[in-house]
Amino acid sequence: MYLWKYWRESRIAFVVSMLCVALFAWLVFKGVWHIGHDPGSSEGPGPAGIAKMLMVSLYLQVPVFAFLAWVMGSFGVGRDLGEGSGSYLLTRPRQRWWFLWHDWGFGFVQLVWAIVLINLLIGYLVHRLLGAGGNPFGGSVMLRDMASPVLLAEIMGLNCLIIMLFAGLIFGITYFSTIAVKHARGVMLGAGIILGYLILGALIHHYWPAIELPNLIMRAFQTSPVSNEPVSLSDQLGLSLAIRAAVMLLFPVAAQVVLERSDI
Amino acid sequence: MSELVVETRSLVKHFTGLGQKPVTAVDGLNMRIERGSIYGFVGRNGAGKTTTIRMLAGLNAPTSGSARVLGLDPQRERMGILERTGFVIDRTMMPYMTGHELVRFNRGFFPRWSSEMAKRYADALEIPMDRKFKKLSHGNKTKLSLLLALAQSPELLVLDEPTAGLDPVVNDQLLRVLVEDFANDGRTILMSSHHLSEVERVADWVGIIDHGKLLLEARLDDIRANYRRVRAFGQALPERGPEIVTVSATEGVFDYVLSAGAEGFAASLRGQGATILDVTPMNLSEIFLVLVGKETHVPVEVLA
Repeated sequence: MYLWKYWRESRIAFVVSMLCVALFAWLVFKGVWHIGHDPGSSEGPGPAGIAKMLMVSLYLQVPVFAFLAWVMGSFGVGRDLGEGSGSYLLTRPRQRWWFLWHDWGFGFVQLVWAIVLINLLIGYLVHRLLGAGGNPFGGSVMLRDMASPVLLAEIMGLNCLIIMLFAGLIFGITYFSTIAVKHARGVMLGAGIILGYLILGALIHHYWPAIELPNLIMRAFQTSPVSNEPVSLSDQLGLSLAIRAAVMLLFPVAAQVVLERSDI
Repeated sequence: MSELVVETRSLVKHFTGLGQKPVTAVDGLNMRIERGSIYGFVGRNGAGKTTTIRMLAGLNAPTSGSARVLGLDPQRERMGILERTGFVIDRTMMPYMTGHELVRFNRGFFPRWSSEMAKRYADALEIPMDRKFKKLSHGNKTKLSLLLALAQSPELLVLDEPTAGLDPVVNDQLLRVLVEDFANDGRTILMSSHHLSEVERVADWVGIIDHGKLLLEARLDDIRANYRRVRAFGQALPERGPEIVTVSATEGVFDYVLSAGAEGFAASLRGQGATILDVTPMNLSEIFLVLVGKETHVPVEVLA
């Protein structure tokens, strides 16, 4: 029943996000097609064009899901505390962490659903394009200079993970901020933290070029400066994913610590 | 000895803010509520009633001291307390939910939830259940809060100023439900209020709190039977004694408020050469004003 409450709060945002997904899919189909399309050919984009499409579609998802995760982070216990219904909610016989992790879990599942759906759409589109081109690489995509075919499923899976970790991080920061501020206005603090991190990264990069803060978007593939070197998965990709997942989970855990110690 | 459903020992709560001096909201509170009683917890605004109730609900952690509700610790055993206790504290719920949705939302939390009772109270209290919470009047919000607390079939009902801001009709409806339906089944009510007349009407125990300290805790019948005002004329009469709650002297007239033994005390004053002007019983309002040290001729309801 509690999940129903979260759904009741967030359903408009979720429906809007699904509309965004549909719009995004349409944009991918119409706009990104043109980016990858070889004007001299009637058969659709070539291998390099498809790689470009995938790259653009990945980065186009970032602002969409950043915004969605930011909005979704405003629902749940923090909002209840701000609206004055916190004492009502937290006198229902459940532990505080129970409310918090149900909020976070359900919100994250909604994000994951949207992310998977959008990437399935993109994957399906690329799959059709590969098929239209005779599928010369057996379901793989050439990421660079015909040297290193990578399975489409692998690319799409990693894209999903990258966006999930990114959106989960934004969602977690925003959710934590609403708990810390005890108000849905915490979304502004969340946005401030994220912007602050980006500005800090830019300043550090400017004054100390040798130091680089981790990018909010993980790089799954690495390329070498030598153009014919094959594209490969980034070094220690598993470790990197695990660290980013841990950082993502750090914020709901911090929110739990704050909530457990708060006077309501 | 009766079983205690609420007991606090030296309960203290300080609030601290950055760069601010700590504020003591509750200061060494010792409270005992027997099973089956209706306990009126009275005090002025800011006296510490709500903070005490929040500590009993486990919403606020005490700075020191201890509390037990139904024999359980509100900090470590909250679940056991919340399953068996109906708390009505802020009377603000999810504003976008209708009464029906709130009932549906609530019932999943309570194994002893009674849908039949929820429906009965909704009808009896004439609550528009299909209206969103934010659209309800203040009275209907309070009634809905009470409905939700009652339908969970609690052993103990804790209400923080349930009748504040209600019109007399709604006020009467609520008090009838509480006394005739709930308390008649031998269940316990802790009700904070600064409306002394309604506490006098429904409660059988009263606790008076001021500046975080419990100044008086007694059966209302005992208070009525024993508290007396004694006015005496004389010289150098005693100003201290075990039964003397307060004393003031003006031009040889001593005005005593006694917690017990008024007749014996009057006799002892006579023995010291005093003339007893009168010995009068006191109502809760007069006792309250004496205890919180704000005795004036302004009615308590207005002061509160």
